[in-house]
Amino acid sequence: MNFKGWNRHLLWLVAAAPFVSQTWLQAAPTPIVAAREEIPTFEKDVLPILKGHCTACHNPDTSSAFLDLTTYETTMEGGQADNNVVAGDPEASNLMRRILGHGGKPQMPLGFAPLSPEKTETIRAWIKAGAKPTPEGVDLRHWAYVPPQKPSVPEGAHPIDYFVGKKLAEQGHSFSPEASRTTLIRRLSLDLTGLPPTPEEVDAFLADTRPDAYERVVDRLLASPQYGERLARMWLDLARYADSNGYEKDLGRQNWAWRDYVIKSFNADKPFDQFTTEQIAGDLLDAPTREQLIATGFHRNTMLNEEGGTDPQEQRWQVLVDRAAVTGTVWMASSTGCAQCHDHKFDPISQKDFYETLAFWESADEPLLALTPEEVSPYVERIKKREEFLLSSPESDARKAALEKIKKERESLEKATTLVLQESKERKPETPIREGGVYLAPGEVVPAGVPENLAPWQPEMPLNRLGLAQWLTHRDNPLTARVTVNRIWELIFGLGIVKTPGDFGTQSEAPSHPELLDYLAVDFRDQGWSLKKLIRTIVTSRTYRQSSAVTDAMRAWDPDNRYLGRAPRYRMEAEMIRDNALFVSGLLDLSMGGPSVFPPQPEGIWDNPYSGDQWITDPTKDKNRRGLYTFWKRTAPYPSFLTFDATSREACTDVRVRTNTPLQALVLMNDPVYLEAAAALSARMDGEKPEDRIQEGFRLVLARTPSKEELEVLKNYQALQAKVFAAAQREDAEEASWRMLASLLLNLDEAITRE
Amino acid sequence: MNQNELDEIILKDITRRHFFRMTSYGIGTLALGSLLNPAALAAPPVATNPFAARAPHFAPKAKRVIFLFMAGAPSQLDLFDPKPKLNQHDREPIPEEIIEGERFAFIKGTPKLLGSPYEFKQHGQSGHWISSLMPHTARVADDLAFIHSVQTDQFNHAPAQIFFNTGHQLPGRPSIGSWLLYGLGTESQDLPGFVVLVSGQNNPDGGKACWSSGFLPSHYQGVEFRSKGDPVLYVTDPDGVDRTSRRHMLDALREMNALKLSDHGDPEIATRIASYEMAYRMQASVPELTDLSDESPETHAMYGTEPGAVSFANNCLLARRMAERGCRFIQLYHWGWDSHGTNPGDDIMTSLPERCRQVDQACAALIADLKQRGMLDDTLVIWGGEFGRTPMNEERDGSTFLGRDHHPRAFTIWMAGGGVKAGLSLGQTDDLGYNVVEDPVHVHDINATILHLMGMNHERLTYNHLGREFRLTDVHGQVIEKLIG
Repeated sequence: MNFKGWNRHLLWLVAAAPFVSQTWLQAAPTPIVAAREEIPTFEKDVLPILKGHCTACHNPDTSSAFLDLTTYETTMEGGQADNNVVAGDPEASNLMRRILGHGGKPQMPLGFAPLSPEKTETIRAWIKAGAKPTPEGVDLRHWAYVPPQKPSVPEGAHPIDYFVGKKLAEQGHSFSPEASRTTLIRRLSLDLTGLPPTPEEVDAFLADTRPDAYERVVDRLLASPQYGERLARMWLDLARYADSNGYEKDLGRQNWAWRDYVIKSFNADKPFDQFTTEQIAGDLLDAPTREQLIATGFHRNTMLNEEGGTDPQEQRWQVLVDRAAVTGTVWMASSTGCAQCHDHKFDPISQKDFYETLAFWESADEPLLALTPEEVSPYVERIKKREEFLLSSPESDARKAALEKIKKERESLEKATTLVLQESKERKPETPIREGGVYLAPGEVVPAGVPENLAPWQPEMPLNRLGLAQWLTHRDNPLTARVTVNRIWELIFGLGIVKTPGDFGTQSEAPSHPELLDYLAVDFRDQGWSLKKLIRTIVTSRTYRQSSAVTDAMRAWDPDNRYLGRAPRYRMEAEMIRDNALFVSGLLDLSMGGPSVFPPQPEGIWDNPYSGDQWITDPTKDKNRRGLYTFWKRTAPYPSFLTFDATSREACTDVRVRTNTPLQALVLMNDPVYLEAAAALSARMDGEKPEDRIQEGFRLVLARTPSKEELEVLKNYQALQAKVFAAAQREDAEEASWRMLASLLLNLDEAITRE
Repeated sequence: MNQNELDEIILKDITRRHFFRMTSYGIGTLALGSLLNPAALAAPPVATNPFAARAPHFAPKAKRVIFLFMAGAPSQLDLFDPKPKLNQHDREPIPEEIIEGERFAFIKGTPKLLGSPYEFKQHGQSGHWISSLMPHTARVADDLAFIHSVQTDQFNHAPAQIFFNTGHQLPGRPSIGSWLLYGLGTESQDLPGFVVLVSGQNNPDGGKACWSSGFLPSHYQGVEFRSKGDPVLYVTDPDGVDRTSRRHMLDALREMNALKLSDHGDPEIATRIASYEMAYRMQASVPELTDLSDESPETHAMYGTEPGAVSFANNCLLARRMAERGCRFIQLYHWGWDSHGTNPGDDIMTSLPERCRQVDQACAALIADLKQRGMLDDTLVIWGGEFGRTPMNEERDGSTFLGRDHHPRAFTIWMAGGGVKAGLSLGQTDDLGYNVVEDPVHVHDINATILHLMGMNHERLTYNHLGREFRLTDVHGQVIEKLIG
């Protein structure tokens, strides 16, 4: 058995494979493979925990309590207490007692949260098994730095269900039943396009008795143009895409052609390795196409400070650091930024490595690329419509201001540019190391390079950005495929197989399903880096198709749903909430691409010291475009998106946190966007009897029919509200009550939740 | 009652009502039974309330902070740090050796020194030196602790403001208020715990990054109270929807969400229900808070406030009302201190006095008011900008207006209440006010001290992001022991 090639997860699997076949499907009460007692090793398992929690104080320099926990020898030696580690007896070991807070002394680490049960258990198991030094021959590499190999899957089994099911069975659990068809089609539509299904689509699916009806829906959604927009949101967050420069002046910029490139690439299912290469080094490809040049706008999304006193050298420095760090986060899930100032504390990235990766960006010039008339003409047409609309409306000051702004917009569009990179003729890809990360302290000059302990640099790779892209997407690179697969998993399941999509380092939590991650990563790469194939694999699994209903017992044994014994249920993301409301009310304009738009927002959001830019709401249906086309001003982003956890795009965002707050309730109740949507929705709710109208509203918003009880609640409410309005002498009491009811529907927890 | 208890009551109320309703429909009650008795569950159905008040690391001196941020950077040399030597050498070139290798935002060549045109006097028992531009502040001098030796790393507005607030010059990290809310929660049940009030012509240069929650969950970000339109975005119901209608709508919404909860079991639904109830309470508490008409004429006279006006003074009075109602971190921004001297709108002869008039009386009133209400002891008040200003005249492009460039090496802030030694004067600058010569205090130290006074150890208040434990003070910061009473 080859110990070097892979970590013990694979060993476990290889050993187990002949015996498992498909028996997990029978939900055996005991795990098929007797839980092999893994003995943790010091270097691989224990030391990372000590480094993460203890060695800030217990190291050879400070050695609090004369204890140094940075090596095996000194850990065994102990400090003040000579019983630091008593081999075979965790309870008698001072290390264990202090971690647990036993023995009357304060619990360690002092002043910080205690170690998690898993980490505590690892240390205990290591001591119990004799507290031995790490045996020879064990591959000490962290799992993420070992190239993935494809574990075998029994014939006929869905790989995802095989790995997830096996884990569940080990725990004595099984999958939840399949979700209802209405839930499934709404879930699929939201996950793959960011939009809900229409009632007609729901009906068609319910009536489709063909065995592959579900797969047909999947394929239809993957082929829809809205698919690319859905995935783009994630990529724009990573790329810190915005329509303004950031900082004090925060003036507008044009880089929407790059945004559209992203959408088009996802829709065309451009292989992810090519997508990577074009964005990092499109200009260095042989005879690059326009699209490949535009692609390099990825790293032009860095901020630009135009304050009068800004030092251009410092500015440039910050841009370079950002490009190196964001490349690390996006493709390698590595927090290389730490190494700006010093060698990475935990991960195998030296300060020199960081400057070597930064050096790739030193030789990139930053020109503007003029867009061609063909590239802008469709959008010019759209702007002209806005102008025409305004010209036909009555004269007013507001109209005048809007016309002026639109004229400016049209003029700037007619000579539109986009931000690109171009390899410099003068500067070389090399950079001085800056001691302590201070840009004014240049030291030894290093040429561009990569952390070769992750994957070797191949001789055929040119020493420039193109080589960097080739290295990132090379078969031997252990990270890119895994990281990408995990991001897609996170997008669909709400939580990655590795919880931290931007950090696969030694301090990150181990993957919940390591074999699955590796299977998908290798498969993704071998299937030509196709995101659509990957997503198809995911959503056709039984794991994906489960119900998300949760019982007390399920929550008790797996509160975070790490084992996936049920489908996840989570609130939609900011843009999706608005898109959804506009879609179900029939207002959403699905036009794609072009300059960003200005939907209604409250006055005063844009007050800025040094920019006269004004937010003037688009008069035509352009105001009802999908959320990702909303003008993104970094110092003052669209307020309701911010309330629903979108970020300012000032920095790379790898995960949007999901919160649940009163301010969100206020947005859905009172933001004019949602009031307008409610009014339009109520007008769409046809029917003779109140029941019919409610049924129709329910179908539009939730893609299902209401229960008897839900119907009762809503009927009573509408009648009561109509009465209240009538008592207040409102002439439109009846219709107003329906608008309130429609607003209520848009405020339902279920309406903003993917379940 | 804290928020957790409140949430639980709401939930019980809902489930109890549904218990009776649903049994009459003959729906199974197993799940409901356990909802009625949350203690029977291994995992509680009500998600933890992120705003619930939490215990600090150690006994705090202050329970809340009011931070009066003077965006644009006021001139310490014309307000609080008199330099006779500077006046003596007014308009003489600065000795080359002082500025050798220095970078300035705008100054080019060898600039001339600029004495202060304003008269300084000592005030109170403490003998604080305060210029004639701040007569009201002078009256509360003995309640203030001045730090004359503050230093920062940044000399442009946006990065320096973001640096002061988040400990890092680039946007993306949590601000002080977010850290405090994350660490301590808040005592207010129906108002946001971290509130931002902006006055002056414009928003601060650093934008919302100054009160961003960075990588902390976004419920910890500062909530802006606006002086125009809705005080809190979307807090006002649309025309024609009164409180009764809103209540009816929310009752029905609650029933619908509760049905979903009992059917599905996701505790997030319970949190959603609680969020709507808090929103409803905010719809009452926010107008009540922002309506200054119930303040006495004496109070208005003291602050120089007027109900309905848009002013820094109004914001100071609002800050006191927020402090009374349990907000944790209240931050005021007043923009317009950037006295470069390129025109009368940004010089130290016309613009600076105007800016002082806008804030002086209200700041002093806030201190006196908190004191007379017995709240100054546990309210930490901070006054200051993102950096200081140069002892030299900027003379940009030969401008004849007097003004000073950005100066990160030495500036003055004051603090009051909340465990700070009243009347203290800490730190000294050299004869020209160029460099710190005694007790240097870095921005990181100020942040460490703010956390300390609130009962938090700045090295222990951490959050794991991208594999690293982050903190407000990065890897720096020392509590300013001399400052603490």
